This record gives sequence, structure tokens and C-alpha cells, in this order.
Amino acid sequence: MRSLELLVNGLLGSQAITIDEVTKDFGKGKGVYDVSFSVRQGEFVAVMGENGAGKSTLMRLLMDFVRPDTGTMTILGRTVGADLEIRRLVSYVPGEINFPDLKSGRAFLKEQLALYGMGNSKKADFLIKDFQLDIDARPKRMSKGMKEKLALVSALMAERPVLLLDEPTNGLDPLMREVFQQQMLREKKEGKTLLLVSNDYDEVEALCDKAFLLTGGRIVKAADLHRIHSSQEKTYIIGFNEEKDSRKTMQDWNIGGDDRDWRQLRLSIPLNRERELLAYLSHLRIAYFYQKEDSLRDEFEERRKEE
Amino acid sequence: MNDKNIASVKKRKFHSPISWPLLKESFRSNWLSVLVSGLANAIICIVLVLILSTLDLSSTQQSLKLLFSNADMLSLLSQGSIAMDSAYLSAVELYRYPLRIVSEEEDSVGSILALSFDAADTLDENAALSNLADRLVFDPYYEAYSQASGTDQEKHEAAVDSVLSDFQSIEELIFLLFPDLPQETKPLLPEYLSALLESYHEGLVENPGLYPDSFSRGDTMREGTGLFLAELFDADEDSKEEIEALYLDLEALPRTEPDRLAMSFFEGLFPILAPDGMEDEAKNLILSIHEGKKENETAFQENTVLGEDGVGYRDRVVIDALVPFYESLIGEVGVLFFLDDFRVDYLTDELGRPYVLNDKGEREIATTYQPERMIPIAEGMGKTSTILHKRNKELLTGKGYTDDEIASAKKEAQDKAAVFSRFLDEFLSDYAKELLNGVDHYYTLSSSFLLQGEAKESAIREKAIEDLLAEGEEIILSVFEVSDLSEISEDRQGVSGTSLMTLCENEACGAIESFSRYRRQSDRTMSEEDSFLLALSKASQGILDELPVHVQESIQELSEMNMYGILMGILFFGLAGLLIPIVTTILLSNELLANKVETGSMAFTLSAPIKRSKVVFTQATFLILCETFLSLLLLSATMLSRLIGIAIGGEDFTAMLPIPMLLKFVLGNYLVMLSISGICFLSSAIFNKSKLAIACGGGIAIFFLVAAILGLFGGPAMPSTIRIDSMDFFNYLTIISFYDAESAISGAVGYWYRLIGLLAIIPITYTASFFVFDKKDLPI
Repeated sequence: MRSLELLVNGLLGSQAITIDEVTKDFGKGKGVYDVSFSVRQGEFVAVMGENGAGKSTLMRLLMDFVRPDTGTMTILGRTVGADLEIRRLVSYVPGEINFPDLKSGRAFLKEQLALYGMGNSKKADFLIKDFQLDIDARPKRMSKGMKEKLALVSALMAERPVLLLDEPTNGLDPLMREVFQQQMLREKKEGKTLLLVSNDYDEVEALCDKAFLLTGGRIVKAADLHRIHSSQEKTYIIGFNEEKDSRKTMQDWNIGGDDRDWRQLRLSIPLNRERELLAYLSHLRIAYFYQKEDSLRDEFEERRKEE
Repeated sequence: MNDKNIASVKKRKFHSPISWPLLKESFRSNWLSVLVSGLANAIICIVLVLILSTLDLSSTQQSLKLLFSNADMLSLLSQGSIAMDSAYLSAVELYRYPLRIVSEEEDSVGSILALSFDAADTLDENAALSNLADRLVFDPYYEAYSQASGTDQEKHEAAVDSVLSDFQSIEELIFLLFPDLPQETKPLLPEYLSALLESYHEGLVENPGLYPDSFSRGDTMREGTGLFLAELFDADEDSKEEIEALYLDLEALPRTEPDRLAMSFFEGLFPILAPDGMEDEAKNLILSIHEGKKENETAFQENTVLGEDGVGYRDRVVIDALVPFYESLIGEVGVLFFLDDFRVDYLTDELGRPYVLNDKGEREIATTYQPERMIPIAEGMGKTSTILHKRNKELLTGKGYTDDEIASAKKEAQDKAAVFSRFLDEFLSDYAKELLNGVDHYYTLSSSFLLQGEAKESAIREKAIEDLLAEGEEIILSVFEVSDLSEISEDRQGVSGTSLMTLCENEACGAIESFSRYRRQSDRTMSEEDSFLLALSKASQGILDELPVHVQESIQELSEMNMYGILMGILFFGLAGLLIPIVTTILLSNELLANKVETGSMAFTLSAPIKRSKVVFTQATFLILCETFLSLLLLSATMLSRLIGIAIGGEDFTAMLPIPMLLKFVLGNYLVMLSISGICFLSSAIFNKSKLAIACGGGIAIFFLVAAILGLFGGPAMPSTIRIDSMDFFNYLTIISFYDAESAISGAVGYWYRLIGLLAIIPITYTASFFVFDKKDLPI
């Protein structure tokens, strides 16, 4: 069934990236195992996870730097590893950035343009300005943030439909992260597809449509950020001073589990019962009360705790 | 990216296996280090050549070469002078006695032979004379012999003395027996009587039944006469019996023809007296004298001067017969000198025969080739064969000389002997003329009968040296290409003509002196020939000949080494000149792949539409271009410094460092570097970490270099005195040995065969890099 889906998607061209049961075992539990997911064209997807979870390996697999033990991957309908044309479709920012030893960022960009087979790029000029990049600095001597900016300029100026960015904003200051996000949104408008490796929930929530949590090389959780944002339930955290109040609330609002710590309760209710809850609580002696924003962090952190 | 761009990229990708932007990038990041190391190497090369050009290596070699050619010349000179002196000496002796008897006194010898047979008959038939002989000779001998004490020999000698003490009456008896005996023979009679008594004594010991009473007095006399003749001609023990037998055979001939009697006697006698192998020549010597005599008997008898040379006819005939005899005699001995030398690795006695240990552990002279029982000389201390060893080559090596080798040595010896015969002819002719005029410089007669006497050794020696130096001067003049000795001077040729002649004279005198001393000392138990060869071999040995073979070889090697070639070809192009390029190559090849992977900058390269194989191909091309550049720089430096070197050092350089040789050096160096770059590049393709890539590829490259340095001590560049042969092992551990500088210097074809090794390594390593890098995972 799944391969039929892939085939259909491939033919229709609606899937930008498909990863089908890909396993790459480096031994000692390192690698990715049996990973399958797909990214539609124009979709922005994040891969999250702890260090060593296999995020970068996944990117390298897609770039054909690392060859899978089993499984196949396609990008815009072309099989990774078999079709050199993919290189014209994908831009990549590696997780660890090191440039060839050239005398300036300008030289590097010129070099890259030559490698891409491009003469010059207006987009590059725009991005340099936008990112406030000093392209006269020697790439080897650049700070982490500078390197990331240069790598981003190099990747984005190629104007390729699929972007594979491996933690591109690690070293950027908040202002620059904002600039990056603005740029990404522009890219999205142009219909680009993004696979982003990131551990920054804010960034992922601001940019992405979907997110996957990778743990120990396996996708353990997928989240649809649209669903989270448009959720019909709200979650409240309530702190109690007295146990009886707490027990009563548990009973009345049907919060299960007797062995719970009575001092703090977590309660999810539909939006339309908010007033009712406030009214109910006004009769009790409560220590604190606040609304918990529904977020990706919650979902993923919860999941991690279960691990 | 517009369509036009895509089209142009596609086109380029399709046509070129190289990524030009990548090549440019590699060039931009690495050109400086490659250029610097190339220049450093070139500067070292130029400095080395400049230093070499100020050295005077070739003059050192010239003097070593001179040492050898001098040693050869001196050895030739000593052999020549010994040969000349002994030829003159023995020719004078042979000429004066017995050849003069053969030619001049043959008739009287014939008569005496006839007389001796008559006398023996008389002694058998005439009872009165027989009694007289008993009374005067045999009985007193027997009486004295019986009364004497001591060994048999002592008794015999005492008895002879006792008989000889009363010689007066015996002499009368002899003249009764030999009525026609010439009075001149008187001085020989006591010796004759001794010979008779010797024969009597032999009978006494061997036939106690017949002696002392009923023996044949005639037979005793016959045997005694035979014995006397043998002693007269100084024959050794073996020949004595042959001469006795020869004499007894003559009795069958008619006594009325004393002429024929003497001819037969001499024709039989000379082959007996001749050295081994010279029997036919000795017979021919007598036959040709007889022939000359028959041809013109009157002129022969009277020794008339017929030719313009002023030599009497008889003398001419004798000299013409004698000279070829000597020519073949010298040729016969000379063969040994011209046979190829070999190395003697076993202990030998002084006659060159190998010792073997018998079952009791005692030394014996080997009779067959038994390497397991022969006593080996310490490793490397073997000596070059002397003429005595050559005689025993089969015993020493298990393999004798082939007939071809002997034939060619014989030919060479005869060519040399021809020179001697010219001198000998001249010398004898002058001597014959001198004798005609009644002067005799070279011989002192002690008895007019049979012309016995003694040659004047010192006078003959002087003459021999004089003749030899005349010939030596000719040779020296032709060697130095001058017409007069005075043109050879110390400031130009390093030695003056006169001192050269003095040197030759001293050498000649020394050789002859030591030869005659060895002859005098010679062991009586040795055969004449052995002692002659021993003296000859010892007297003609130079100091260099006495050195162990490996010392000789190494001195010779030093004189033949092309020091410039070795310093440049082996030390520079094979070792020192490799170090900087190897280090550069290790770092560069790491830079091109492994480092790009480790840091991740390869990711940017591979973000572009470039296949990995194209990346490898481009980087390999760049590496090869760098090696080529380094070699071209080295080549230019070599050629430039050669020109400078020639300007400073002169013609030596043109001769010692010819351009084809230098080109071979550079080519070998280039291919070695390509191979090493291949190995380093492969290592760089295999490993993702610079540390490992450098450790592995660089480690191997440096190992090769170190092995080559160690191998140098066991290689042909080291003179054999300081060479450690076992260290040659290292040369089998390094690919640098595929560059055979030694063959490049000597011009041997082996140079090209060895290069095949390098030509195999280069494509193998580069192709392997290609596949490895294309297949592996990249952590970028």
C-alpha cells in the first residue's frame, strides 16, 4: 500500500521528499532505523531530537553522502543516489560548517557559484545585505554565526526547490534568527520545500507545518503544528492549598488517578467551558492558576519523558 | 538558475571528467605550499651541484686509477724482466754448453762414445786389463768399502775417496783402455771413475751373488759411462736412468760412424733434458741444427760468416734453432699469466694446491676437488689467483679452464713471447760475434773440454735490464704520446721521464733479484718447474696482489665510481631530493580529500552537481599536476645547475653528468613521487580523519624513505669496504628501489625494467582511490 502511495505521489510530483523504510546502522546503536516519512511540495518539516539521535545522518542520507543499508529515498520523484540531477534540486547547509581555505567569503561564494554553474546571483546580494554578512572576512576565521550566515547565503542563492538545513541558526543571535525566519517565510511563499533540523521549538513552531521527533534513530512522534495551533481545548494548571479542595475538583472535573500529587492539577477542557471553570474555582482556595499554551514542546517533552 | 545555465552545465559535465571550478579552488588553496617546497628542493639541488663542482673528485679517482695501472704496469715489468733475464741466462748456458758441443764438438763426442764401447768390450775380453782394473780399482774399493763404517752411502763415499787417492796409476789404466782418448779429458777422469764406482756399488748392493767376484767388468763400465754422461748434463734422478738407457741403446749402432752415434745421442738426450711439455721442441732444436749442418757442412765446420750480420754460419744455425725453442718455452709458461683470474677461497700450500683435512684432522694436499673438506679462507679475505693457483684451478674450484680459454691465453702468451724472441735473437747474435772475436762477456770456461763453465749472471742481468728498459722507454713514450723522455715532466704529467725510467729500472732489478733469491732458496724437493714457477709467482706479485680480493675490489671500485653520479643520482634524486616533495605530497593529498571530509567543506563541493568520482578525478589530476610541476622545477634546476657546474668545475661535469643520465634521474624521481602520491592519495580517500590519513599514507611514504636510507648502506653506492651487505635487505622493503640510480649511472637496461614497478603502483593506487571514495560514507 505504502509503495503504491509513494508511486502515486512520485508521479503526481506532489511529494517533495519521500523516505521509505530507510535504515543505516553505524553500529553501537548509532544510525537511523526504519525511518519512513514524506514531505509534500511546499511543506516545511522539522526533524527534532537529542544529540546523536540521527538527525544529521538523515540529512546525509538524503544528500547521498551516506548510503543506506536498506530503503529508498526520493527527492522530487528522483531516487537519491541514482540521479545526479537531484544535486540541482537541493540546497544543503551542513550541521558542522567548515569552508575551504579561501581568502574571503566573497571568494567562497564566487567559487560556489562557479560550481553551481552560475555566473552571479542577485539573490545572493540581497541575502548578504539582509543577513548583514561581512563577505570580506576569511571564512576560516569567521565566528559560528558568521559561518552559518555564509552557508545559508551559499545554499539559498542557488535557488533550488528543496532546502535541507541542518541546524542553520545555532549560532545566530535572536535578531538574525528573526531575519532567517522572515527569509524562510519568503521561501515558503515561493513554494520551496524545507526539511529543517532544529531543536529550537520556537523556530519550528514559527516556520514548520510538521515536526518529527527522532530518538535513537527512530521516529517516535510526529506532530502537526496546524492542529496544535488550532486546538479546541485549553489546558490549565491549578495549584491548591488544601487537599480537600483538590480532591473535590478532581472529582467534579473528572480528573483521574487517586495517587496524584494533590498540590497541582492539570486540566484540559473545551474552549466553551472556560467560564464555567473560572466560576467553579472562585469558590475554592487556590494558590495559583494559569493557562498552559498548547505547544509542540509539551508534546515532544512529554514523549521524551516517557522514553 | 535559468535554462541557459543548465544547458551549459550539462554540456560541460558531459565533456569533461574534471571539475574546473574545483581544480581552480584546489590550485588557489595549495599553489603556495607546492611552489615553496618545489623551490626549496630546487635550491638544494643547485647548491649540491655547486658544491660538487668545486670538489676535485675526479683527480682523486685519477690517482686511484693510476695506482692500478701502475700496479699492472709494474707487475708486467717484473714479469717481463724476470722472463728476459732468465731467458738470456739460460740461453747463454744452453748456447755455450751443451749446444756448442752439439754443433762444434759433435765428432769428438761421437768418437768418445765409440771409444767407451770399445773400452768396455776390451775390459770383458782382455783378462790382463781386467785383472789390472780389479787390482787398481775394484778390489781396493771393495776392501775400503768393507772396512768402512756407517751407512751404506757413507761407506761408499769413503771407499771412493780411498780409490781416488791413488789416481796416478788408474789414469794410466784408463789410457790403456782408451788408447785414443784426447789428453784434454784428463780433468774429467776422476768424475768418470766415480761414476764407474757408483755403478759397481749399485751392482754390489743389488747383486750380492755376482759381486764382487764374477761380475761383468764391461757392463759395470757401460752403466758407469751412462751414469757419467747423465751427470755431465746435469740430469735429475728420473732422467739419469733414461740417459743411461739411451747410452746403452747406442751400442747397437756401428762404431765406425761416430758422427751418427753422436747425432743419435743428442737427438735422444735433449728431449730427456727438456722441461715437461717441451720434448718435441727440444728434439726439433737438435734436428734443425743437424739439418743446418747437413745443408752446408763446410761452412758449419768452419763457422764461416756468410750473411751481412757478421755471425758465423754455425752460430746462425744454432741461434735460429734456439730462438723458436725459447719462444715456445716462454709461451708455455706465459699461458698461466694470461689465463683468467679467479678468486681463491681455500687455503693452499705455496704451490697453489688446496689443503684438505683428512680423517685425523691433519692437513693434506688435495688430489681431487673436495669443497667440504678444504679449508675455507675467512669471508671476504679470498685472494686473486696466482699463476700457481691457476695451475690447480680444477682442484680449487671444481672446474678447470676450458680448451677455448687455454687456447686464447696461449695465443696471447705467444704474441708476447714473440717480442722476447726478437730481443733474444739480437742478444745471441751479438754474443756469437763477440765469441768469434775471442771476447766473452757472459761466460767463464772452467774446462776447455766440453766447454763447461759458468754464465756470468751479473753481466747477463745488466744486459737484460738494458734491453728491457729500451723496450720500456718505447712503451712509455707511446703511452705519454711524446717523442722524447725529456718531454715528460713533473709539472705536466705529475712525474718526470727520467724518474719514471729509474722507477722501471729499480722495479726490474728488484724483480730479478727477488726471483734469483727465491730460486736459490727453493726447496730441493720441488721439481725444477715448480720452483721456477714459485719464484716467478712470488717475484712478480705486487703489493696490490697481496691484498685480499675484497680490499682490491673496493679500491678498484672507488677508482671506477662515478662520484658525481652517485651523489646526484642516489643521494639527491633517490633520497635527499625526495624528502621535501614527500612531505608536501603527504600534506597535499590529505588536504585534497580527507581534510575536506573531516572539516566538512567537502559538503559544499558535493552540494554542486558534481559526482564524487569527478571530485576524486579532479583532485587526483591536481595532485599529479603538482608532482609534475615539482619535477619540472627540479629538472630546470638540474639543467641550470649543470650549466653553472660546468662553468665552475669544467669538463669533468660534462663527462660525469651527461644529460641523458640526469634525465633518467629526474624521470626516476618523478615516478617515485607519483607512486608515493598515489599511496598518500589512496590513504586520503580511505580515511575520513586527517590524522589517520596522514598517519597511514605519510607513515608508509616515510617508511619507504627511511628504508631507502638504511638500504643505502647495503647498496652499490657504498664502497664495499664500508658496505654492510645485510642492510641491502632494506632495499627490498621500499618502492624507492624501483628507481635504479646505479643502472642509470652505468647505463644498464635494468633501469627501465625496474621502473615497471612504479608504473604499476601509480594506476593501481589512483584507481583504488577512485573506487574507495566513490563508495564510502561521508560524515559531512
